[in-house]
Amino acid sequence: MNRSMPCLALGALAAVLVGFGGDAEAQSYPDKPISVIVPFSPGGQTDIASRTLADALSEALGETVSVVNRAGAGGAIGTAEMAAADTDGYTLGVTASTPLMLKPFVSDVPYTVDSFDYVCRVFENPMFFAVKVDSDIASPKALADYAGSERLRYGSSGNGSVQHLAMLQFSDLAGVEGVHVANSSDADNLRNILADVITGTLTSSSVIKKNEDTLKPIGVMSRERSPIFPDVPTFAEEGFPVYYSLWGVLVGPKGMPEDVLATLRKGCADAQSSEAFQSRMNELGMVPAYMDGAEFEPLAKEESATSKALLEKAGLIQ
Amino acid sequence: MLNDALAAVTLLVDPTTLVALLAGVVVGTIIGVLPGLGPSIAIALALPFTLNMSLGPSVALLMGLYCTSIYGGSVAAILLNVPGTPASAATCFDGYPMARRGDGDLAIGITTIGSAMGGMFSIVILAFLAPFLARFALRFGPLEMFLVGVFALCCVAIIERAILVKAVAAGLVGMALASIGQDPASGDMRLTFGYFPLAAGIPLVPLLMGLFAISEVMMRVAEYGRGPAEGTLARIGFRVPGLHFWRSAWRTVAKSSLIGIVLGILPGAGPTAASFISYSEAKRSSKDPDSFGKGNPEGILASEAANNAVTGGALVPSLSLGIPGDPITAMILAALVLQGVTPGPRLYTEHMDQVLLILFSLFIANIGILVAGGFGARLFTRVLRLPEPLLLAGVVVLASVGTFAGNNSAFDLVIMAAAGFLGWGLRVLGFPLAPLIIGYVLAPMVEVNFKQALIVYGTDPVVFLERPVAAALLVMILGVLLYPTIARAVGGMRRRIASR
Repeated sequence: MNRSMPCLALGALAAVLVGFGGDAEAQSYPDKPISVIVPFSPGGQTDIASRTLADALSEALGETVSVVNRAGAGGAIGTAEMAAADTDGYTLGVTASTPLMLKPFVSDVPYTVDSFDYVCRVFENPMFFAVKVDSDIASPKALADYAGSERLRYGSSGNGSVQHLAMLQFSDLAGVEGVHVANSSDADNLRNILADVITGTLTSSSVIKKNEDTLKPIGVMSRERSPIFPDVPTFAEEGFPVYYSLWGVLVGPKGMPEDVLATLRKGCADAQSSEAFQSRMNELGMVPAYMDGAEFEPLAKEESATSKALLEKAGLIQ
Repeated sequence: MLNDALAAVTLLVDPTTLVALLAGVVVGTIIGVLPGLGPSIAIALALPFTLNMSLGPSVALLMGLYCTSIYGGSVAAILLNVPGTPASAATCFDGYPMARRGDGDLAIGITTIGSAMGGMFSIVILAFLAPFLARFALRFGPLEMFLVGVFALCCVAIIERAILVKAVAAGLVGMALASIGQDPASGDMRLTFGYFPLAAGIPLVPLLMGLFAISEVMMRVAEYGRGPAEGTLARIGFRVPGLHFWRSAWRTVAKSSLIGIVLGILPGAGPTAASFISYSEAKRSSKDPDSFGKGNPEGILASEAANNAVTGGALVPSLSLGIPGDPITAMILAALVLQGVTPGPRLYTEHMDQVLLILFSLFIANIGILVAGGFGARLFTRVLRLPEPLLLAGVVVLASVGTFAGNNSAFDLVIMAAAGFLGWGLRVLGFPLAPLIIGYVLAPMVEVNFKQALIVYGTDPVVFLERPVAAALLVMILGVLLYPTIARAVGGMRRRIASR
């Protein structure tokens, strides 16, 4: 016992020294495992996409990249942690449209769209409006007609979520009024559709693909038709120019060293162009949408400003 | 059908699949037994592995983990008064008193058999009735689910009749704790007092560990040295009651399994509601209700058969509609989808081999419970003979590790400690803890469905006439609340007739 104490102390000292040594050599980034925070539970869309990216990124950077789930408050908890992480580049995160763009306006969260260094966009899933597979509604136009004559009830992932905002804009353009039935998960919205509690909900192609027997897409809120469902018209085609998508972006805290950010951006580009990443994303029904962080940042800020205006108009910002 | 069964068996007898199943059973039992670790962690850890496995092994691994980790949670409930999941909280009522009086081996035996029987029963039902049951589940909209939640909450009134006011108070504290954080319907933050980490709400595992494990340690430390006499040496091993016990107990098993299956199918109600409702029904229909809560083996049986029957039930909406009922089945479903299983009505018509593979795996995993229980019991029950300081220190360490591991959050440890003091205070003042947990677990479901029901159906009571299921549930709730009064009135009348 007595004799082992000095050994332990020496060991601890050595460990500390090794730790410092790693930090001093910033050029050799990365020289220890990197963790990627996912602000949602395991098994969801962002989680699976992030794991796919983490595998490819490990290859590209030559260091282990592992996913850490920090769910809570609709993604705000994990996203706040990304913003507050050390700027050494060993704690990154994949955050999504709602927590990044909208949460800062509707809730009291300790970050804004400016709190991050943007590495790269990981995926961009256009949003489809999905109804029960045997529904008579078959197009955005039909949805507007339905909303005009009956009570349109739509699901979303919460007040002030991307889905909610998009439906507010659609209702506005179509001159109709819908009833918003908020829910916290895709599964709950799906159940409500099947039980005829709501007419439909905005969701991603991967959710529809998984539930092809029970759901059908009737319109997509992108500029062009999606290659995944080429027969489904865009909302814009039928006179409702609403453009929204669900995307995920790899970020780190604001103020990472320039060379670290450069390494990460290059690594992410390599990772996303890899065969393994592409084919996996395809299997998942997700659209790989690589975009460099430098290019994406102004877009994110622009979307954030537009969203803020819309939220204000809808009276969702107190 | 026969071809599909053959295909499923072929996949199953593959050596890798069997190894995966075995690994699932062993690891699941261990994870379940350790306080603080439970099915959600077991499945979350397995998910990344399944990405690189083929269909057979990944299904086997997930099913093995799923039902054994739920079972394992009950072992900790019995031996340490620490439910591994909220679903085992009702097992503490009778399991822990049995362990304290030296009958831990018998309690483990009953839990093991009860769990396996509940699980197998639900699989048989699932195999034949799933698509029909799934359609039935769709008749439960927000209004019905709200009423199911209220019904489960009302069962507290039967379980804790002796201390009704305190039990209701504890339930309300649980509901209040659950409302901290994000409003489940709107996504707004509330009751965080401007302190951001609270935006995630009070997470389940830290609350459960603090409330049960830490407060149990505090209680035992406080009474250390003047606790129960040394005479009650805990028996080691695995003991199953004789045939005479099962002659009356089979009724409880059958009833509890049915309750578990029904609640498993319904979205969001889950094993916690199932075990509480089933426990209260067993107590209500017992000839000797006062023995419940003091170590009645039938109480364990009721809770265990029900919470394990949920595993089969919960897979019904997941597989036949693609709607997982809780976060755990959601993760399982995600893993299955990545394996190329497409849930939905067509799964049963076109891919019966996949359905059968899942069912067979689950069935074998339930047999695995018997084996794991039989072999593990000697080890588990030995825990009771550990010197108390060692045991208590071990509980604190394991509870802390489990709490931290769930969300990698140090704040969760603070919550655990605070919940420990809360639990200790409540116990000292004679408040029961189980109602707090059931209030906490059911509050979000009750709230979301209540709000949605108001949005969708408005405030016109006519909706109860249009929705017969809702009306029936309403009658059941009134029945539960009025049952003691009615029973007393009927008893009084009988006595009067008899005396005449």
